[in-house]
Amino acid sequence: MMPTLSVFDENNMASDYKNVVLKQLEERNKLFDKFSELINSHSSLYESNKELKKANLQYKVDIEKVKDENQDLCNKVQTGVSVAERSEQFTALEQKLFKVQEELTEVHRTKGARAQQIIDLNLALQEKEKEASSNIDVVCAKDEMITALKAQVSSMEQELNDLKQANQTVNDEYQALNITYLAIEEKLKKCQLENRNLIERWMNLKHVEAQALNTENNQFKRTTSTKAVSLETQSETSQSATRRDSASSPQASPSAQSSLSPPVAVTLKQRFSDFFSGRSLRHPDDEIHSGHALGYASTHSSAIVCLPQEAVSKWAAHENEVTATRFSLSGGRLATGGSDRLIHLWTFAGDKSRLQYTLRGCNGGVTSIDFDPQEQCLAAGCNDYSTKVFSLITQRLKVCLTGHNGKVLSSRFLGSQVRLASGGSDRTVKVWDLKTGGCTRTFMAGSSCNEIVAVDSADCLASGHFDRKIRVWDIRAGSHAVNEIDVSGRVTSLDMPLDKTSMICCTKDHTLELVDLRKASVLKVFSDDSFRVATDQTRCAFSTDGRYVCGLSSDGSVLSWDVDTGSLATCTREHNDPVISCCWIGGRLVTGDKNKQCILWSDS
Amino acid sequence: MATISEVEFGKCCRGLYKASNELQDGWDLIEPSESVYLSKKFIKAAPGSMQANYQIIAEVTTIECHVVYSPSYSCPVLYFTASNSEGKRLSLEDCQKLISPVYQEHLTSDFKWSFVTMQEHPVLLKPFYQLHPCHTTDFMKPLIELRNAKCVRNYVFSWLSVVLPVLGLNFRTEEYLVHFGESRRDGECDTLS
Amino acid sequence: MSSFARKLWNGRIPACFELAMYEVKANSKPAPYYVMLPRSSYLTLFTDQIRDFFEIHMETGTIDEVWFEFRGKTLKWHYPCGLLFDMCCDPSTDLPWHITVHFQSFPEKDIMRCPGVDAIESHYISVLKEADQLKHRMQVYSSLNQSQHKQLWHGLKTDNFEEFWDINKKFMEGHEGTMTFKNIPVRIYFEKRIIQKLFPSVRVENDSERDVTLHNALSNCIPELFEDLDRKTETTAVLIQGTTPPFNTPLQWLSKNMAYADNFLHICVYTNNTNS
Repeated sequence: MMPTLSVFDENNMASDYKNVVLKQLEERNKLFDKFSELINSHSSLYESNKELKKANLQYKVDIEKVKDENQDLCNKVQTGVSVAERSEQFTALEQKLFKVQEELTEVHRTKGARAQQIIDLNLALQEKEKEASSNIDVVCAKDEMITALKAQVSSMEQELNDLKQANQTVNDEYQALNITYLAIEEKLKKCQLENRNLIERWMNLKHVEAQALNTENNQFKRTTSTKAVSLETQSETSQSATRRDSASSPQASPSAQSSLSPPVAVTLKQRFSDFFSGRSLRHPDDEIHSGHALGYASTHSSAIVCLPQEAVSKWAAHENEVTATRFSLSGGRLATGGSDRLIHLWTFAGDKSRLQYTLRGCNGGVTSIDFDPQEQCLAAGCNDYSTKVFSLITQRLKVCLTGHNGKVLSSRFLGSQVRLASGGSDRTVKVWDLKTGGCTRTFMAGSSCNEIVAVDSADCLASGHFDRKIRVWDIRAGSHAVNEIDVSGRVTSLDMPLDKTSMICCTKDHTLELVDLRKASVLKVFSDDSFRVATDQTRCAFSTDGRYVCGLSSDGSVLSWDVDTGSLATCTREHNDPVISCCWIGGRLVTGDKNKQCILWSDS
Repeated sequence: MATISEVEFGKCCRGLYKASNELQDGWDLIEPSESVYLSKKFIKAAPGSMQANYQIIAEVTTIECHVVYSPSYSCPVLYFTASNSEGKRLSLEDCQKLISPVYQEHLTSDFKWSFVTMQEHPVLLKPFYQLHPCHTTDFMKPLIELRNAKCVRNYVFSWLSVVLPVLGLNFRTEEYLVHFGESRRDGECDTLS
Repeated sequence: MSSFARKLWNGRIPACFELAMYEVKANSKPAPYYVMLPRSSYLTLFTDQIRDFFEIHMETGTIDEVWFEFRGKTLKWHYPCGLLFDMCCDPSTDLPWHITVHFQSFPEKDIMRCPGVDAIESHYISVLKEADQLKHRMQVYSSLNQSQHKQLWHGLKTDNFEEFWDINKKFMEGHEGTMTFKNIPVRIYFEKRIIQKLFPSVRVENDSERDVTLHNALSNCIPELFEDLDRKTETTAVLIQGTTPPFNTPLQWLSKNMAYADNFLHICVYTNNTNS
């Protein structure tokens, strides 16, 4: 079957092929599309058929359902028995209906009430909202306040912190200071304790010293109480004798010295020679005399004066310098004073010295010692600007005479137990009353006074001074010196014999000068090559009979000159050191040197 | 350009066929008209069947491969059909199992329909499975460059050596190489475009 | 020429599907199912409707995959409907096209299975790709995205001209700026054979470019019939989309305007003797 469409026409133009094809297409479509209507309608019918079938099916299902329901209802209807029952049911239903209607009205009422409630609640809600908003405003304001306060608080806290820190630092400082304070307090306590301890010790020491003194005093008391008992009776008799003599002639005159009755002196002498065992010592018994210079002369002149030719006894008297030596007037005792502030009382057993007791109480070196006329007291001039008066009975310090502004270089009893004169480096000469313990006269000497002697028994005294003058003072008279005698050198010492007619003066120019008091001039000058005065207070001594004078030399030799001839009598060198003190009361010379040694001299 | 013309395809097929005959590899050359194609039957153990030494394999799969030229892609296309021991044709899923594991991922991706698909055999007009040729140029290009270094220039041979292993089929590449090396005149094809 | 394309698109074939008698269960007489088949469509796109239509007439449990047959010849579903008709029918006598529907005994050796619409789509796409490979070296196809591919298929499936040609027009552009395709995708169906050769759109002859015509292609593929142009044989017929274009029609023009939806020119040639 050939399709009539095939065309083998080569005459067709090239461009015609398109038209040809197009025409063919159209014809093709026409042919084939004849069937399209039919087939389309067929398929649409088929589709609708399908739909209908589906719907039909659905309806059938529904019908079945309805039939079933109907069946159920019919069944239900058929179970109802009679009409009467049905009317009962009807009334029941009516009642139910009535009830339901009532309920409905109730419901409506409640609905109205509820609506009203709703309105009220809405109003309340609005009010509450207003309140709430106002509250919120308040809260906002409060919040602002809070933030401001918080800021304040934080600043406060900052301040507080700063203060705390400052406080802390101050505290720390306080602590540190406290610690230092405690430490210092401790130190103070310690110091105080030490102080107390020291005071206690000192007190103890003082106590001990006082006790020692006490014991010594007690001892002395005990020893002297026995002595005193025996001596008192003797002294009374002698005292009465001397008092008679003194009352008759108050002015001391050298010539009256020899008017003393020899028998009194002899009896005294005898007694004392019995008292002192051993060799008969022809000491001038001037210890018992009550400070009357006249009374001495007789006894003294009768004493046998020994030239210092031979050292009978040599002993160490003090720790260092023996600055003062003094025999008691009766000659039985020797008092030595030194720069060790002690005053030793010695007795002699034959030629041997024996320490009786020691007087303590000087606070400075002892410069001069003097016994009182009754030999009950001892006056010591000290370097501590005072004169100490000791009681020889109690062996204790009786009076301390203060008033000098300088060292007391000499102190002498003025004829009685109650009057004393002292001269010191303060250029004054003072007269003391021992009853009161006070200074009665002060003489402005104008120069340092090295030695004082009592010219007569009561009111006259002579002092030797640094300015090469010897001044004689009268206590009754005015403040000026009665006499002034010039000597060639600085006066270191003065001494008078028993008869008090002349005076010897030791000068620093290494001379001894014999001075006439009435004429107020130098009679004789004694010197020697080997005679060199050692110190400013080197003492000299007049023998009690007035015939010899003694000088002490720095090379340790003791020289004596004859007064009448003026020639050197003896020159003996027994000391190894400069001799500075001497005493020739009672016939035998005792010397003390700078190195502890005391020598008792006698002639060979 | 990793494509060949139909004429060259024919040449390569003849060359391969000759080599196959000498090596007794079992390839057939079919010439229904002026166009030719190669075919060979492979017998493979079915996946999953036990293979013990010295025992006859119970389950076998017979895979028939045809190498046909595609004018559209200007390259050979592999058509194959697989059947089990009873002669029943394997479904597409079973054929996909044949694919060696390396290429399995292609089956699960979007390329499912374009890797191994069922197509009508262009000559036999019967349903066959086809390895889609659209990726052939991709893997033939480096091979062409490599091939230029070697003496063998048989496109179909090179192509087979790549494609057959995809199905898990054995191709005696080394033996062919040796054979081509010996008989240069026979196995050669001219430079391919 | 959109009207041309539309006219082509609107080409329908009236088909009448009838259930194979031996498959019908007892006591039911199935009515035939009439459909206007679009030329570019595929038979298996109507499988579902047909199955629904004939299901009730089948014994339950006997339904296998649907396959079609015409006059004892199994119809390959992967050919477009127009091609199938041109191959086996004479429009003067065979309208409507009576197709027998089978539900059993699927001939596996003859035709491919069609497990679903996706299989038809993938087949269509692969043919399209092949056409584009020839026309543009696959450049146009690669330039389109997935949704455009889907759109093409969807347009074809739902018989939507605008939707389809919105994308398909891109495939009608020239290759690399030229007005023509590189090669023309053309298949010639003759005597149980499919002949496909490479035909460029222009050829050089005597130093001038000339269009490759339909005659060129036919004489190249089936030289025995077409070499002699003068020979007027009433026995040979050439059908493209149910029409016979003049032999001097340029292949390029034909490919552009007369191709099927898969972009191929399917040409049926038959002689009187072998009218398949």
